[in-house]
Amino acid sequence: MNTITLQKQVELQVTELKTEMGIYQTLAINLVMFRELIKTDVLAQIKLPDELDLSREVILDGQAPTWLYANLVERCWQAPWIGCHAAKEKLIVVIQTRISTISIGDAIPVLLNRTPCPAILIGGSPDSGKSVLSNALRFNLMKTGAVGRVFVHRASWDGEGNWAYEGANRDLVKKLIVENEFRLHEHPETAKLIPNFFKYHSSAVQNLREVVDLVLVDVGGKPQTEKAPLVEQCTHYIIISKESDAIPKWHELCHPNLQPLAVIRSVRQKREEVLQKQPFLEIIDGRWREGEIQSVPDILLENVLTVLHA
Amino acid sequence: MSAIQLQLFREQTQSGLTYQHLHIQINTQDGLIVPADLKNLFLPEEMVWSQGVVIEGKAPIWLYAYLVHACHPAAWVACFDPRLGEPTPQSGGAVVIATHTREVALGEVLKVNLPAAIFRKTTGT
Repeated sequence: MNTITLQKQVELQVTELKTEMGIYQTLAINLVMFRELIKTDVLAQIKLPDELDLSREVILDGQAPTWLYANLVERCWQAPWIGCHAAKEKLIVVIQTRISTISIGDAIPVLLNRTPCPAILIGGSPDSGKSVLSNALRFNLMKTGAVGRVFVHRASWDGEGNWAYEGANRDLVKKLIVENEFRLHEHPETAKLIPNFFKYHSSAVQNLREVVDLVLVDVGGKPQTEKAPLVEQCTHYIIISKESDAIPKWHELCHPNLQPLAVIRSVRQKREEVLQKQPFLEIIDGRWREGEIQSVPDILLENVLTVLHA
Repeated sequence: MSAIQLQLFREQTQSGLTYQHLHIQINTQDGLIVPADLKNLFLPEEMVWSQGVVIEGKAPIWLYAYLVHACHPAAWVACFDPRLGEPTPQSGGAVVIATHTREVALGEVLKVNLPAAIFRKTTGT
């Protein structure tokens, strides 16, 4: 791979973020090749934009592999202070400083005031394919080029992330997911922890809707009332369930504030059948296996794209 | 117990290079931490700056950013990525993000095995 191609994987742009403390110089990271993990060789080729002023603060912003982000922190080491834009919290987090007026661990509220983008809740009974669908939708929506940034927000306490669907080492993925899950429903203080947990995720979705173009919200396998604050932050919903009995409960959780987009009756066999198109799409589908980025039915993709133009 | 725990392990890459593995463990009940948790966070005293460091663990990007900056004096710094290893259960890739030595190159993927001690749930230890 030559230098030009490597550099084309990553775009760095100097922008700014408005905060309660002032307007800050921001280095925005944009991954051009979202379809696959970028090559690590890119680190040796990256150049900071000429217009980045390292005599000022630098705020890092954007979605990127941890190691790319980390490399940019290193390249900006001489800046008076460095912060990271924590989009879910709508904060800048100060991670290094050479000046007395700002400390490590300070959190500076960001002012965005953008029109919130749509947020699609994805619910359904356990092991029906919610997480696989969420990741596949993200991948396929961005592939269409019709939408800029799609963010999958996992409002559950399991240990998954997009990385879990992009790695070939399935044994390691499974171990890391187990190690990183926080089983709040089994905790002695579950009655206090669970409502607070969903309040946090409600706030996170609200904040993300001002940053990206579409948020997909994976809400876990149970339609509990504690999820109401989270539901309120969404605009549409998709149910994917292998259990027919569970589907009405999800409709009930989302009704009447969210618009139904689709119900997917998830089956183990390779199958794709359209049951109805109105008042919402209903299909039988059996492609939601872990371990690879999947396609999604064209009819579902078209259906989801309609929310962007509503 | 502090919200963020850092554990240091002496390890070798699969090719035999000695390094320090810095494991991040979030200790809150719900797995969530706040920026102020950085204010009392310090690297382990037994860090050896003449060696490289691999940073690993599920954590917000700002915690990684803080640790990367704090580890700047090390011979080299790498970040673990589970997508880049060999097909064995504890193997992953550590991507070199900064280096002061010719032992490793920027962007190089070091094949490493995660220390057995970090698997507390799946091994029952």
